[in-house]
Amino acid sequence: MKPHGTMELYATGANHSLQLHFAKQEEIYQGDADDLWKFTCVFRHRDIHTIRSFDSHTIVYQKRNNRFIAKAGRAPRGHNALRFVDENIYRTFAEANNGHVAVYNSETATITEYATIRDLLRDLGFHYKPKHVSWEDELVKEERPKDCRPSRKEQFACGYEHYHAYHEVIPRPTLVLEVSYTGFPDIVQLLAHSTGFAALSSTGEVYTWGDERFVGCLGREVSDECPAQYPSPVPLLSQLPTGPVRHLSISPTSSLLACLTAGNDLYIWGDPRQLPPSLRTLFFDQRRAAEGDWHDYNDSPVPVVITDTDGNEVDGIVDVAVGTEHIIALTDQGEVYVIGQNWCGQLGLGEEIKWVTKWEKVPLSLDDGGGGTKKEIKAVAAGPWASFLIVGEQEKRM
Amino acid sequence: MRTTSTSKLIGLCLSAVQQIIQECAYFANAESAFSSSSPSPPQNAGPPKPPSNVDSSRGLRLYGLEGCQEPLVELLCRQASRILQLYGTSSGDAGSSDHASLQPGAEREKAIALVKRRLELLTKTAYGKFYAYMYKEVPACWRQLYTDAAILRFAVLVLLEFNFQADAGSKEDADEKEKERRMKRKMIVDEMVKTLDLSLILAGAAGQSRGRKWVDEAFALLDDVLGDMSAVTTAAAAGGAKKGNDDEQEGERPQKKRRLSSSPNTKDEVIKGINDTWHNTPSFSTIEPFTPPVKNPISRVSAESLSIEAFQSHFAKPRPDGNPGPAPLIITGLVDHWPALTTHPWNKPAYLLSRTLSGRRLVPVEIGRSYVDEGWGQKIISFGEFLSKYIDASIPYTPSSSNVSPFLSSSSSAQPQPSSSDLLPEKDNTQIAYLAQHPLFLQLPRLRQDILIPDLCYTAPPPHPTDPSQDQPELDSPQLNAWFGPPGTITPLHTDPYHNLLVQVVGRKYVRLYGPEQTVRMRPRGKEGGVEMGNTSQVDVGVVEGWDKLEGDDKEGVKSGDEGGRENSEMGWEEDFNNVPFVDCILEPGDTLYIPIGWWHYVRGLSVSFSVSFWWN
Repeated sequence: MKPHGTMELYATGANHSLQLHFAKQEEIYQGDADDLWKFTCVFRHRDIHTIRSFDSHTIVYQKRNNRFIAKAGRAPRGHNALRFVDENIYRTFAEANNGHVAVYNSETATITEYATIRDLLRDLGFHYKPKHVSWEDELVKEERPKDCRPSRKEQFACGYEHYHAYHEVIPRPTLVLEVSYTGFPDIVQLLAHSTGFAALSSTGEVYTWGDERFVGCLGREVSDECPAQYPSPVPLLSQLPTGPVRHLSISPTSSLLACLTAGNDLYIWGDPRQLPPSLRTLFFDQRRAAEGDWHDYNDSPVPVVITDTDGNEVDGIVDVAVGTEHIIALTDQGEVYVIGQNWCGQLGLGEEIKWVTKWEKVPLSLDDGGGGTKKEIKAVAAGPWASFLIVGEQEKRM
Repeated sequence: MRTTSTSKLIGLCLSAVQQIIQECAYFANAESAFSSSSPSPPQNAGPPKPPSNVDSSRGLRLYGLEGCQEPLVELLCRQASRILQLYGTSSGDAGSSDHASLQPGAEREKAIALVKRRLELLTKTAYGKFYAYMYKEVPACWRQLYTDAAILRFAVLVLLEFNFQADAGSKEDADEKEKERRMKRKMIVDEMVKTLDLSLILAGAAGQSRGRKWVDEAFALLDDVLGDMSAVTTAAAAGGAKKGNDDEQEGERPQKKRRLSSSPNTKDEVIKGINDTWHNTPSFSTIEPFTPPVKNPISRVSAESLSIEAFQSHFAKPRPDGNPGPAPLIITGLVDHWPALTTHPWNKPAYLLSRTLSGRRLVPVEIGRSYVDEGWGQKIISFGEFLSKYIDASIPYTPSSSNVSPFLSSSSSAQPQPSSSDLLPEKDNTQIAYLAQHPLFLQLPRLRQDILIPDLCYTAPPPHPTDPSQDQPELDSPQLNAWFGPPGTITPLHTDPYHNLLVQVVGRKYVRLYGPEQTVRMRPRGKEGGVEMGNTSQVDVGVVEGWDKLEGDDKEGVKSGDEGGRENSEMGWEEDFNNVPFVDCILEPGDTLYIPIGWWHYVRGLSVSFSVSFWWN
């Protein structure tokens, strides 16, 4: 079945390595390109589904077979090597700001964590050769082994020859550079935050693990039974009033973690000490803040209420994405709200605004593509210093 | 019009910029996508090409930046090229005069802003790593990336934004304009200082070819430049009353000469001769709000009667109580000859300000009574603000920024340093700030010249008497730390993995010591918040002794809370603790306390107090 129409990717924010520029780079390179200060259409394709935006490059995947469609910007060597070795792993691996890397294998129900991306590569049997020093896409494309297209459900698993079989990845916690955790049969999302990871199961269970110093990022108690370093469930997220968690959104460069429930409520947790003041306020109970009690912040998940300019509560948050210093949220009315820092345009509010400390609706005018079909925002995404909107044809609502 | 020091500072910046371009050149060339398409945009006459030695450096000589993601290194390199390019096209300043095309003002401003924003992004990215990794495990490449971005940022300020024309004249020219210009210049200078100081404090100014050496040199030159400028201004103010502009240039001459001829030491002497302003200035107050009694005084020995050999044999001397290891000892008169106690008096605020670019230099201070208290936090403030706000309110200093952001841009994102103290409202003026355990002398080499490493540190002290796991690899040279604060600073009962000579330079401190064999009874903490706190006791000596009141309900001297609460339930610990033998003392200016490895110590500032500790093994 062929999807109809064209989808568009809008972007705003840091563009220092042309990571928001999907056209051929030769055509536009003029010294250092400026950042984008407003949401701008940067890419069109008939099927845009997933955006992964890193420090200096952006990758677009389509829905069908999760296939790679486009890349913008400059990828570091380790990333190119991983793409070269195993596109499937590359699509889903998580890399925290402390260099730790985690991958999930659904066949073995195993999450494996490595000290660095190099250790992952080594485990996959990859060794740098001179030709890998070059990091051209062409080379990666050419030499990429035959396509391996798993179904959506299988996206984490790929019967790759380099990928270790089950008996090889039983827990090896004594190894410093690699640890495996088994018994996670149905992980649907595995993401990194600044100092660790979080995973979501198909039943809505959220597991967190990582550096004990930032216990707020774990959103749970640390105890002998549930040590910081071991993936352990976040109890408070399994009993939310509007149903189980259906979506996680986390940035590898941020210590703020966010999730959405089945009933489209937004919850966040994290370590406010590491956040800019514009985001820190999200963590404080307004009442306590009013009483001058700024010291104790909530280190367990708190609900986030977005209000519009009239002070009315906006509910029905269908998608959310987190950057290093900002959050972007999409409502079921198709409106986009942002909060946080905007010093390089990541909120898309224009050059004059440096930050917003209250949720702000982004004024948007989507090109209607000339065909007269109505467009709507399907999803939002974020890079460390950028935001994205995936725009497609409007579907009939119930 | 330019003074020698000004040209030197500009030269230093240019050479750093060029060096960064060269070091990153490997990438600039290896990536064909960028370099092949990067030939200059028409409006900019040729950006500086990567040096031609690139091919020879194909062997991946990244000079310490390997490990950072390659695109970020490229980004750094591009900013360096851009700075050079903008400098080349800047009006008047003939750096490389072949750049004929002048960019219009607004466009140039925009280009400068973009460079600064890129550098900001680099420093933020690197800074994020500082937190994400354990303190000691931060890969050096990120520290160097931060430092190099700061150096480039400093270069932007020096090469592109600072107006070195010490426009002293123009008295009749509307004062408003002059004032505005002076304000602008002051702001830029503050930004320069902040940029480099943050690289020292946060990133340890990492880097082989530039790093700390470069930053120190830049600070020394900046000091000279500012000295020249104020000299000109002063001369102008004096001369202006009599004559016109031409004479004012003359007023600058003698200053220039002194700088040309001087090595650091003699220069100090000259400055002292010319500008001996601090000798008639007030000293720090010696008021002591509270003086605890000394119960078991530590024995004192005069430095004259303590040769190195005698000190070495002290290590082997058994303690009176028969426990293993050497005993603590106070050595008097060991540092009488230090400049810090004589010609360069550290007890004079004016002297300390003169060594910190008039108080502009930044220092990290701890806010709160003791580092185990709730609400304790660290922040980075200017030395001048530290003095006037926390040490002595009578010291005039107008703070330029009350809380320094860890990021370089000042205006665009003025964010407070993320620390828990920020979460407290700024209500508390009674808060104590302590410049504690900071390698201040690495940061301010001129203060380092005022002290000397005691010969006693060149002894071979014994290992830890009871716990060999405490012993650290041998230090190349003693590790120096500064401890400077108002009355009432507290370092809670803890133990260090080194032998320590604690030298009291200004004011008085109370110290109490418990032997290493008492470790269990010291009630060491465990892991707290992912940080190993086993070297710190749960006991608050001040509370147990009744000198301090603990905030809140719980009057026991043990940290309350989830962990502590459980252990609290063992009754009678306080009585037991009170029976643990200890020795104590009050250190006077000039006293040196030898704290053997493993000894638990509690330190309390009684007056305004400045001490230096020397760790060695």
